[in-house]
Amino acid sequence: MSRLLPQGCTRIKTLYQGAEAIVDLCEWLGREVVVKTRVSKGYRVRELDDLIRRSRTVREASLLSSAKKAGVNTPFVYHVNPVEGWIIMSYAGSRSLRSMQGSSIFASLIRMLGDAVGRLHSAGIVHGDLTFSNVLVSEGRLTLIDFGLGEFSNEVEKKAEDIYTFFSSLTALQDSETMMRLFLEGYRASARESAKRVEERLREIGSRGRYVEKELRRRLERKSRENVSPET
Amino acid sequence: MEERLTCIGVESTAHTFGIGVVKHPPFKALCDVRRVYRPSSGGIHPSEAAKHHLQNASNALQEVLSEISVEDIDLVSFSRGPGLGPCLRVGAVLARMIAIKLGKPLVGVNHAAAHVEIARALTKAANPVVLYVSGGNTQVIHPSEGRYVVLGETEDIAVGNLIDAFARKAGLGFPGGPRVMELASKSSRLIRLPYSVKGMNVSFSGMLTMLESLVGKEPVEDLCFSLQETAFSMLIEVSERAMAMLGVNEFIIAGGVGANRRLREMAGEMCRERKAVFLDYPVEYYADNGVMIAWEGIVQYKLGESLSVEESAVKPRWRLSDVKAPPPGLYSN
Repeated sequence: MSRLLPQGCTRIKTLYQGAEAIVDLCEWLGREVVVKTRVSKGYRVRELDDLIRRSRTVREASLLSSAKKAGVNTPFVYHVNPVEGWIIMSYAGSRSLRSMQGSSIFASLIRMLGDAVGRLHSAGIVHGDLTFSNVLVSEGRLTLIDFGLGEFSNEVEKKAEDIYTFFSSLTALQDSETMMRLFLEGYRASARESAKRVEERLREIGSRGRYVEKELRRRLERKSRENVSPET
Repeated sequence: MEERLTCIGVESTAHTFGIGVVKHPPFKALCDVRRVYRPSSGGIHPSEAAKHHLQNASNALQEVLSEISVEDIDLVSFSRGPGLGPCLRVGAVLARMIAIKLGKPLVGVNHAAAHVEIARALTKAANPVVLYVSGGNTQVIHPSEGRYVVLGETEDIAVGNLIDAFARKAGLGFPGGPRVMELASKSSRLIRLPYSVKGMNVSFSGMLTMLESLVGKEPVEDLCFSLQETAFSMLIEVSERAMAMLGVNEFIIAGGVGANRRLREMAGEMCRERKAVFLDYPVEYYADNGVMIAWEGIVQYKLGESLSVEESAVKPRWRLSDVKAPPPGLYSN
C-alpha cells in the first residue's frame, strides 16, 4: 500500500485509516488541510482499480461541493486529482458531535443537524454514513464530513436509511426520544413536503427484521471507529 | 477429557445429496459421499432435484455403511435449512430414519452455519471475517459472542446465481462456475460492468442484465473475465471493509464459489496488503457436502441443541442470524 502525498503536502498526522482510504492532516501552502487518498488495491486488475478510485474521488468531491451549494457546511475542496485518487480539503477541526454530548447546546445542534440533512435530501444528496463522528462542531456550527458512501439520489428509501443510521447512534443516549424529535423538527423545516414520506418510510424500516442486524452492525462500527479515530 | 462424538450428517439443500461422518476430538472426517444432481437443461428444478436425492439416498447410505460401522455413530444431523423445501425434506426423512433406527439424538443444522464452521474447523481460525458465497447466498459474516453477525449481504441475487444465470445464457451449462473460470483465464480484456457496492452490501442484478445483453456481441472469454474481476472485486472490497471495521486480521471464504481460484487469489492479495491472513483449506470442502453437516451437528449438540422427530420439520428460510455460534475453543484440537 504505497502512497504518495500530493506534491507540496507535509504530513502532520494520520487521522483515519480505513479499508478504502487514508485521511491525513497535512500542511499545504502554509495551511492545515485534510488529504483523503484512495489507495490502490493489488487484488483488483489495474484498469478496474483506476476506474473505481477515479470515479469515487470525483463523486465525493462533487458531493462535498453540491452539499455546500445546498446550504450545508462541508469542507472546502481545494484540489482534486482523480488519477491519483486524492482530494485536498479544508480542515474542519477535530471536535465531533459525539464530544458535545452533555453540553448545553447539544439539543440545538441536533436540531441543526436535522435541518442540514433536510437540505441535503432536498438537493438530492444522501450522505450514506451519518454517524456522530461524521459531524464536526466548531463555533456553534456543524460541518458534515466523509461523503465516501454518499450518492446523488432522490429515493425515499435511501433518505430514510440516512436518518435511520443516525437514529441508531442516538439510541445509546438517555434522552434519545427527545433528540429524535428535535432532529425531525429540524428536518421538517428544511425538507418540507418530502419530509412526510421519508418519515413514514423511516418508521417502516424500524419494523423490518433485517435492520435489527443492521443496528448491531452500526453499533460495532461505532465501537471500531472509537478505537481508531484520534478525535476525543 | 472431552466426550468423543461421531456424527453422521445428511446434506440435501440444493443440487448436492451428501452424507458425511465426522469424529471429534480431534476433528476427523471419516467418510464423505456425494451425489450431485445435474439438470439436463436450465437450472435446478426443485422437485427434480428432490427426486434425484430420493433415488440416491439409499445407495449413498450403503456406501457410507461400507466405510464405517453403525455402532460408532453417536449422533445424526441433517441440513434443516435454508434451502429448497422438496430437497431438504429428503435429507430430513433419511436422518430421522437413521436416528430412530439407532436410537441416537437428532440435530437439525443450519446449512450456512455448517459452511462457516467447517471452514473454521479446517483452518483453526480464531476470529475470522467469513465471506460466504454460493449459488443461493452471498454474505459477509462475523461469528461473535455466540451468534453470527451478518455485516453485509447481497441486496438481490447471490454471486453464484449471477455466474450460473450468465453461464446458462451463454450456453455454458450448469453449474457455470468451473467453465466461467476456465474461459476467464483465457482473457485479460475488461469490459465495463456495473460495480455496485453500498456500504458492506453488494448487488449483482444490474451486472447480470448487462452481461446477458452482451452474450453473442462480445467474446465469451472476455465476458467471463470481466464478470469474475468485477464481481469478485466487489466481494473482496466489502470483506476488507468488514475486517477494517472490526479490526479483524483473519479471513476465510466458505461456500461453493470459494472453489474459484481467482477469488481465492484476490483474497490472498487483499490480506497480504493489509498484513492479515487468508486461511485456505482443501477445495473440495468449499462445495456442499455431508461432512460439514456432520461437523455442525457435533458443534450444535455441544451447544445443547437436539430435536425430537416430531419437531424436526425443515426450515427453508432459516436465517443464519437466528443460529447460535460456538466459541473459538472448539477448534483447539
